[in-house]
Amino acid sequence: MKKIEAIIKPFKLDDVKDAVLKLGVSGITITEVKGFGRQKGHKEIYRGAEYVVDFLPKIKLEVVVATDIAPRVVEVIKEHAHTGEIGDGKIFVMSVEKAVRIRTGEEDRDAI
Amino acid sequence: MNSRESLTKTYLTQGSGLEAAHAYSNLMDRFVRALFLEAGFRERIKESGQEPLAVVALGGYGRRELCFHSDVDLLVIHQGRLSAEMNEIIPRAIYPLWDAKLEVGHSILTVPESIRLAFNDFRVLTALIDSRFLLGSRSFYRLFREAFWSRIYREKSSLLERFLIYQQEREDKYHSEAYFVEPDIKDGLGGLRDLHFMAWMARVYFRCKRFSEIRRFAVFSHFEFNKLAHSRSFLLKVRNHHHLLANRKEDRLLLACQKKISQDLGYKDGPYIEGPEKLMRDLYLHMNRIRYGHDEFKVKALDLIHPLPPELVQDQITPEFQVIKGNVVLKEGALSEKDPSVILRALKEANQRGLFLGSGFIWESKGIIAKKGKDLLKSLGARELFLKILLEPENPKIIRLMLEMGLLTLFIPEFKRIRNLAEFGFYHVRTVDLHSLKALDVLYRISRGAYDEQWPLFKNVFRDLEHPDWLFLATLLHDIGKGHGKDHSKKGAELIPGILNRFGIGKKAMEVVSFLIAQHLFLVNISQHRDLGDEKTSVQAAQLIQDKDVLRMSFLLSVADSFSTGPMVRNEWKTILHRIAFYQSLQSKYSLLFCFMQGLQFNVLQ
Repeated sequence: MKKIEAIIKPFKLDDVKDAVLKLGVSGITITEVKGFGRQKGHKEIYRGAEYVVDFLPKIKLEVVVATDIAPRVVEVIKEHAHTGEIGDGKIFVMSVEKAVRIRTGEEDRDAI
Repeated sequence: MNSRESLTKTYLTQGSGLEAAHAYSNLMDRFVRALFLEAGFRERIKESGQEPLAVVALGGYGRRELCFHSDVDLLVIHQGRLSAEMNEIIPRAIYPLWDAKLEVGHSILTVPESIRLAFNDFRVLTALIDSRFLLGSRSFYRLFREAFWSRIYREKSSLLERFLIYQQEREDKYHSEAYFVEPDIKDGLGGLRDLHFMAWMARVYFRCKRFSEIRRFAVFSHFEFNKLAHSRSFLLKVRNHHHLLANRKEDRLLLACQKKISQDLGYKDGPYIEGPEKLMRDLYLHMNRIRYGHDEFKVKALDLIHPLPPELVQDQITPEFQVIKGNVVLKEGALSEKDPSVILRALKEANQRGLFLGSGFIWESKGIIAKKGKDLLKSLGARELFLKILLEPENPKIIRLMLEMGLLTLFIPEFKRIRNLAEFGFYHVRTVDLHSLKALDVLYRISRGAYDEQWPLFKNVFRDLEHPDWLFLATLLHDIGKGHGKDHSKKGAELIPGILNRFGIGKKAMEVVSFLIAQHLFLVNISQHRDLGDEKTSVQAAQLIQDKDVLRMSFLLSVADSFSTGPMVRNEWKTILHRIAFYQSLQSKYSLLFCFMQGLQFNVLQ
C-alpha cells in the first residue's frame, strides 16, 4: 500500500477529487493547510499599507491506495492540479505498513 | 411497565407535550406507590403506627414534567434513625425501578440532612423546591416543607447571588454557536430551564406557589403566561420524541434526530422549506419566546427585590424619557396613550447612548406594535427614524431588540419570511434572521476596528467607503431572498426595489444594494473555485464589478457574511483566499484597461 500526499491549489480540489475517484479510489482526506515553497508568500499593498501573506492557503490531499495503482493516482493528480504557474504544489508517495477499518476490523487491502 | 409502552403509543398519536409529561408522571406515581406497597410499606405502617417518614418526588418528577428517559429522583425523608424494617423495605421498592431501566436517583435523609445538603448544593436546593409528596406521612412531609421554606425565606437575600451565578454559568456554556444548530431543549438558552428559573424565583422571592400567581404584581400583569405555557408544552413534546428516538436521556436535539422528529411530528417538506427546517423554525420561535420572557422577568424581578433610585443623567436625554439602571424608560404616563412613534424615539436614544429599553417599556411596545402597527407606520418621520437607527448602529443589541419587538418585520414585511428560518445542517449555525443581524454586527465591529489585530485591511477598506449606509442596508438584507427556493441572491435582489422604495431611498443606492445582494457570493466563489493566480479571474471580477467602491462593499459584505455564518465558513484559511481575491480584483482595474487596449477578449461572467 502507498500513501499519496499532495499539496495543491485550493481551486483545483474539485478537478483532482473527481479524477482520483474515477480511478476507483474510495476515500480521500483533505485538509486546509497553509505553507510556502519556492513561491514564498505574497504581498498586498492597499493604500500604502502592506499586508504580507507568508503562508499561502493550500489544500493537502491524502489518499492510501494499493501499490499497483499508486503510479496512476500520482499521474492523475499531477495532470489535474497542473496550471504551469508557480505554486502548483507537490506530491509525495510513501509506503504504508498496515491499514485497519475500525468498524469491522478488516485489514490492509480490504480496509482501504 | 407495560403501560409505559401503551402510553408511548397514545402519546405519539395525540396529546400535547404537557399532557404527555403529566400522564407519564402520574403513571410513575402509581408505579412507585405500588412498588412501595408491594415491598411491605403499608404493613409496616400498620404495625408501627404512622412512622415519621415520607417518599417525595424531586426536580422534574416533582414538577410532573417527566419525559420518557428523564431521571426519576426520589427522596425518602425520615426522622432519627431509620427502622431496620424500613431499611429493607426501601431497597426492595426501589430495585424494580432500576430493573425497569429507569434512570433513578434516590437518597434517604433526615430533615436537617436534606436541608443542609440543599444549602450546600444549588442543584439539590432547586430539586427540593420542586418536591412533591408521594406516599408516607403527609403531616411529616408538611413539617419538612415548613422547615425547608422557613430556612429559604430567612436566607433568600444570600441565595440571590447563587441564583444569578447559576444562570450566568448556563449562559456562558450555552451561548456558543454549537448550540444554535443543535439546541439543548432543557438546559440551553430559552430551554425549559429558563421557565424553571422563573418559577423558582417567583416561589422564593414572591411566594408564588404557581408561577402564574406572579400576575398579582403590577409589573407582571402583562406577562404572556399562556404563550409561555404553550411554548413549554411544545418543548416537552419535542423532548419526549427525542428521548424516545435517542432511547436515552438526551436533551440536545442532535442534527441526526431533527429529521426523524420533524417527520414524526408531521412536518412535511415544502417546495422551499424542508420539514426539519420547519420544525427548527418553530423550536427557535418557542425558545426565543421563553428566553425573552425570562430576560424580561429577571430584570423586573431584580428590580422588585432591590429597587434602585433613577440615575441622574436627565440633562443628557430628551425630556420625555429617563434612564433607570441603564434602561431608557418613559418619564411619565403610559405608552398606550402616546403617539406610537415614541417607541422609535426611545430606541434612537438607547441606540445613541449604548443603553437598552426598560423591560416594561419593551413589553408594552410589543403589544402596541402588534395592535397599532399601521398607525406607527403612518406616523410622521417613523420610517426615517427607523432607518436612522438601522444605519447608524451604535448599539447592536438595539437592532436585535427591534427584531424581537416586531419592528423589523413591521417596516420590512419581507423579513417575515426569514424570521426564525433555519437551514438544515452544520454549515449555518444561526437562523437566517439572526445571521443577518450578526452580519450587521460584524460590519459594525469592522468599522470599530475590532478585527484590526488579525485583519487590519478590513477597517482600512471600510474607511474608504463613500456610502457605508448602502453597505449596512445590503448586509441586513443580503439573505432576504431565502425561503423562496433556488437562487436566493437573485430573488433577494429582486425584492430590494420594493423595500427601499418604501423608505424613499434613491435610485443609485437601490441599484448598488440590489447588485451587492445579487452578487454577494461572487467573491467567495471565485476565491475558492477559480485560479487566483490567473489574470483572467481578476479581470473577470473587475468586469463584473466595475466600480471600486462597489468592489469594496462587496468584499466587506462577503466578509461579514462568512464571519457570521459559522465556524465551518469563518476561518483564517478561507479569509486569506478571500482577501487575495479582493486584492487581485482591485488591482486588475488597470489590467482590464490594458487588456481592452490590446483587443483581447474575455468571457464575461453571467
